Amino acid sequence: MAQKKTKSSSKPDVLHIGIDLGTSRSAIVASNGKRTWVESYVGWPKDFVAKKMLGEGILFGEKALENRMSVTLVRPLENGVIRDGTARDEEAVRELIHHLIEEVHPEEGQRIQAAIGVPAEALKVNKLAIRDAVREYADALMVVSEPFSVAYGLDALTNAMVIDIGAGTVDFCVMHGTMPTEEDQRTLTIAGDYVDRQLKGLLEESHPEARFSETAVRHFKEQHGFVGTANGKLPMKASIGGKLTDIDVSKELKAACESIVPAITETAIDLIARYDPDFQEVVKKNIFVAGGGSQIKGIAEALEDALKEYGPCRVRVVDDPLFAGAEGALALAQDMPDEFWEDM
Amino acid sequence: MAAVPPPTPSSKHDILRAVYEDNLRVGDPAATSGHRTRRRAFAAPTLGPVPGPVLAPPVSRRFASAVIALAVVGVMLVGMIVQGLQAGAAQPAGQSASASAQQRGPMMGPSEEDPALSNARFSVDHPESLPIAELFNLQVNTIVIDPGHGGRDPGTLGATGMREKDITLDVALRLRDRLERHEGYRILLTRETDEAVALGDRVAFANDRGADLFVSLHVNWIPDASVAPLETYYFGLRADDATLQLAHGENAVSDYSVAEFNTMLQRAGNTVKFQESKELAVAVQHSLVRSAGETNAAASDWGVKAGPFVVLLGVESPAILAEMAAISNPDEEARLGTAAHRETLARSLEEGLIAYLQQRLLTPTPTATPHGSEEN
Repeated sequence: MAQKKTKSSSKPDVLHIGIDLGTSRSAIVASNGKRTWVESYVGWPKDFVAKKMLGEGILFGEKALENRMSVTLVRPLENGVIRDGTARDEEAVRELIHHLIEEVHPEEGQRIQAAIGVPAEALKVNKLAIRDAVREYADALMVVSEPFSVAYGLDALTNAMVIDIGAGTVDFCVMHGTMPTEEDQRTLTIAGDYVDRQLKGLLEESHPEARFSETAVRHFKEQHGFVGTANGKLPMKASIGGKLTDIDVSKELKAACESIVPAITETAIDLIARYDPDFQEVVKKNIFVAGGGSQIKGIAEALEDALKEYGPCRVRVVDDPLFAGAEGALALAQDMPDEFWEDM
Repeated sequence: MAAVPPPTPSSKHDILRAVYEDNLRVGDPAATSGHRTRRRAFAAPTLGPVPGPVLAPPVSRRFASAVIALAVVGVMLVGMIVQGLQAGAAQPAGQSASASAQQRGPMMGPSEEDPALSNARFSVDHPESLPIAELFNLQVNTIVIDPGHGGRDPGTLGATGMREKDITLDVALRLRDRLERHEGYRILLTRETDEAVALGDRVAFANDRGADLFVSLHVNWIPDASVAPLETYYFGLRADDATLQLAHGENAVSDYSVAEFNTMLQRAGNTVKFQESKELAVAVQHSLVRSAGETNAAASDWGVKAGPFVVLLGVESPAILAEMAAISNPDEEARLGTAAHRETLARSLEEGLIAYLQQRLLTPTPTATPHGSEEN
């Protein structure tokens, strides 16, 4: 487990935790210095045979994915939101949160005060379900949107915009010195999963003889995703007639990754344009890109190029994007005055 | 759009206060009811859901959803249902019969077997032989069709990427065309395009327009791809006999529409809704199963069930939620990709609705042929 020097809790009887509950990955950072992340998958053995074989009643993250043939696999925030009435998704969220909190090893009797960043849509639709999911494992809770928690962690509370490119959604949030309202935020469902589908479709079109699994396509995008100029060939292994063969997929990968740029640009401009011109100019020079999608090579430059059409701008990728949301949530939890923490 | 004035930055403390207040607005049933849950011991073994008809949604979630929805239905109904669900909340989650599409199965019984829902009923059951709508010659004028999901919410996805939201919309549009051939009905859709419509907005749409019937269309997904279950839900609470007899005496020659009657009856419990929802669900389910049996050997009748769906609770008229196909079944998904099959689904739904209306004497005399020609 990774450890990072975090502002230690002034009260050892209280453990502050920050969680980034993402569609693709979820991360946790605690005031005891521990932090970790997991792929947002939960798997339950399909039957007793699978349970005996796996040796566990529930699997998380990569382990659940690796054993997907033996488990009922749930990705609870599939589209950035827990579908209404889907008890299994809610159960998966609850277990995921339980698992994450266990990973930072709270001490017996320690009071847990948690802040959780969730996709903006989940914040609107599922806040109550998330509170229910956390209720058993924490004493007090604050739920905020992921881009806001990122902004809080960056201390970019004013004159800034955060674009959180997740798997299920791209969330936009303009910070102007107050807690963002719905008017300050936008959500796009053209996000990482959309890129995966595009890439798979393009590959199948270009190489009809080959077979590509969704997992392999996603992993390849995460490792090599880029926009702009390709640096040579990008070979990907694919099964052709049962034989693993290297195929150059640079063209398809570039096209798939670039497919989300216009929508992000358009939405960013649409959101910024509703503010006063002076404020627009300032915000455009202070745009942060976070989330898994920020790891697409060249994404900040591509967005900057596209946004320059509307005037000078500066787009940066946040440091440590995997933990940026969780770190921000932890900072918020630690800064939150005692009187604002109420038992659930 | 008018430009937003220059924002006034506030202190970090103000922002934290705003976060606190925003979270406060969520509401916390446990806090208000005094039933605070103890934090689970971290050493406790983890027990997750297993495939099949086992797991129920978390009680607190169901409770909360019910509370939210009940605010729409009315004060009297709130009292009754909260009482019932609170009783249900006292049981272990695993014993509750309410479950998601992934967890329910063919053996799960209707509301009669569900203690939570049973407790939410009136104390005196209304005899089946006294259908209020029929007795008072109520009429159905407005039928609201609700294509599930939409916009950012695709609903369930098939293996080939087919989206539930597209199927529900297409079938709903076809169903509207079919029902409009029957004179005397106003057919409305909660959405006519691929747009996100919140559940509350769907409820408000139906209620504001005086819906007499509400049909929510969905497509099922279950882990077992070999089966194509069909099931239809209603939220049904029965009327007490005394209320029925009183209303019978005073409204014997009423020409009230179902929606108008509902408004009056709410203070005594929304009898028509709960009684007729089940009848409507039975008719639609029967039609769906009959039709599916002709085309898909994997089709399985999972029956008519009661379920605490928010959209069914909030709508004041008789309301059902039909899981009209199963996208998790590869054959069914392939069929759903054809216009002919979606038209067949629309026809099945139409037949079920018309059968219900005729059986309950709720329909104006049709002047058009109930079952039109196929459209592809």
